Amino acid sequence: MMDLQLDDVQREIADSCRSLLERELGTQRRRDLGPGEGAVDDALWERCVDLGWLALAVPEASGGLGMGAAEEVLVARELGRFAAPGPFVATMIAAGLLDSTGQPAVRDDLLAGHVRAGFAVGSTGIDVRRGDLVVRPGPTSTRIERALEVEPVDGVDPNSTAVQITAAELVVEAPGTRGLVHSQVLLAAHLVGVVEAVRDSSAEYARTRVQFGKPIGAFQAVKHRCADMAVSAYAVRAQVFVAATMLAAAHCDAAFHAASAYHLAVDAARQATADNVQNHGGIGYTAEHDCHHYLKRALLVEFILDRSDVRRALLEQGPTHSSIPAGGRVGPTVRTLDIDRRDS
Amino acid sequence: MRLLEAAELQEFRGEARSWLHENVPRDPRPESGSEMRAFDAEWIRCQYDAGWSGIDWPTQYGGRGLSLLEQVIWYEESARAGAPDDSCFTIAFGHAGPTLIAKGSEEQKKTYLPPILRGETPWCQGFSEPDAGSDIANVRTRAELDGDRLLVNGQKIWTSYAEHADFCELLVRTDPNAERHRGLSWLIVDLHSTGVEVRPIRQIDGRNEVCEVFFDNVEVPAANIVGELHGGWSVTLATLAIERGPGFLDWRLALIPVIDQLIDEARERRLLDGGIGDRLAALRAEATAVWSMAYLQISEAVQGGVPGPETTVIRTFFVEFQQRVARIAVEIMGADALRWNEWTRRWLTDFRMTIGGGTVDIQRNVIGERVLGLPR
Repeated sequence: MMDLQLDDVQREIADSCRSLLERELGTQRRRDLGPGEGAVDDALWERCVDLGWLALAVPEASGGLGMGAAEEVLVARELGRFAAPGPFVATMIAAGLLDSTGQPAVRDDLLAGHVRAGFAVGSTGIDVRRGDLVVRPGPTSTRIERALEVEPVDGVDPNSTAVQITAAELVVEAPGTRGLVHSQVLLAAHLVGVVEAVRDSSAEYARTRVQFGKPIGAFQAVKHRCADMAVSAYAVRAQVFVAATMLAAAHCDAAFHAASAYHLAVDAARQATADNVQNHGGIGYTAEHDCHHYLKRALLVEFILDRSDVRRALLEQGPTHSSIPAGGRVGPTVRTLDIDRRDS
Repeated sequence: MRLLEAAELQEFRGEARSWLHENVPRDPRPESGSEMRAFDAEWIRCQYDAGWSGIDWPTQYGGRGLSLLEQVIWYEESARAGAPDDSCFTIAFGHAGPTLIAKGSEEQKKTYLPPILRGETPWCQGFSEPDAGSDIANVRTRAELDGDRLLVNGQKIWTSYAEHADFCELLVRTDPNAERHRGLSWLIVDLHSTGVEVRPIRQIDGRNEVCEVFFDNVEVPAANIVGELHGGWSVTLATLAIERGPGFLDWRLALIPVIDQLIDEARERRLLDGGIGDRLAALRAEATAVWSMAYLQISEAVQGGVPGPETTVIRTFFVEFQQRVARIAVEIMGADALRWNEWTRRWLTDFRMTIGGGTVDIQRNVIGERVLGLPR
């Protein structure tokens, strides 16, 4: 059984995260930045470090806050809501892996904010500076490398910095699916924020933009696109909350639920961010408006992880669909429902 | 957001699982006629005798008095055990019973709830009319108060299982002069009364589960009004909130093992590598989201909230998902789908999903207006 309501601490984390992002990385500030200036500066990064965003799920004994994925997804969701710059999600993943694989020195560097960790998509690094770490989640292990040399490239997402990683060294290769599962959950949570943001932006515009003598939200074609955003936002949020709860409890179904969450979130964000441009009409086509920030952020997240890993998990793994761990086991899941049917 | 480790829930699940394993009917459910009602009644009686009927209904009316959590565990385990997922008692359990629990008088609860739990009285829903489909407040069936009784005249349509039902939850107009939402009443009508005529309608799936029901001077005791006279709209909203919310959770959860069956079927037919495999993967994720939404909804309901507009959100997701499941089943079967079979029938049956209970188009309007505040 799960309780998917936020408790007081969780609500406080989400609220404080949201108000800081609103203040520091709100849309107006981003509009004032030129291309390539979107990166989070050291002062802001350090403030987020001080707030504990990167160390939420790291054990207290290792200098973290000793919470878990349930709290991390709330931060990731708020970051998505603002299409925020900064490699927060990848740094959370790396901190967890460095801790569990016995790399205390590198972990502490990360938790102190001296270095950051960004995702790599092929040879492209996202928000990776020279000397930063690079996270490559995979189905059998997750590699953490250090970027020794990087060259700037022309990235599409205006709120992140893309580089070509030309030289790197391996820091650690963490075996198992943990890095991948963790990445799927936090990136899906990030996209929950994206979908909720465009849902609210479209609804706001549809309430106020008048054509043919009435707000365009009165037209069913527009209203129904907005409604679909509300539906997918709810579905993906539910799935992300379940996946995070299971991951936090090391439940045997966590991997399956994480794959489901990422799959649903990517599809929902692709549709909702495109519909958001359509709902805004001409203004949505301009670089002046936020629509394209979300469109491009959704595209970026769609390509960070390999969809074939997700497809395999969805077809070959199986949930027990019992929210109680079967016999308290933690480990690879089996197609329990299948086995039952063959027995009967 | 946390996992609850409750030993009593685990124990409940274990008991449910082993009882279902022993007792789920092995014979296929008859498709029509009195055999179908007898089959459904016997299965419910069997659950009742073992204490599994009305798990979250109050004990004074024969229920077990447990929470929605235990009820959901039961649905999960029923789906897993392959228990029958349709029944002519669906409205009695998912609709009429919960509405009476919420809005009925003490006398009505004592009279009508226990026989439902014992599998004795199927109910049907008399809401829709030829001119009141999604626009349900437009009902014209009249009921005139005459002393301590009402005289009912009019017609209902799309009434599932009316042929087998003993009682009908009937929405009627009692005050023709009031503004249209204000002149309605919600009645309990004995379908064996004089003046009731039921005519089954042949459906696109070859069955005739839905019916027209005609009322010609049917006498109904005034004591059968649920809620206030002319207060039927608020009772109806309660019914619809149950229908779109926790009601029919069993249907929602029953689809999860269906996807697993389809994956096995596609694997046997060597269809899993292509586009069918992609779509099955997507459906599996969606089935999981249906399950997760149930938990999100329950988490919120347990806190004492009434079902809100999120119930419409869940329904919109679910009804289209269910149609996609049935559609891919037909594609997996290929030409085999052209001969009558369970999957083709299900594909055709499920066209009702986006029509009944208010079309999905109207649901999207409701979401736009009540959730997002868009203008009408």
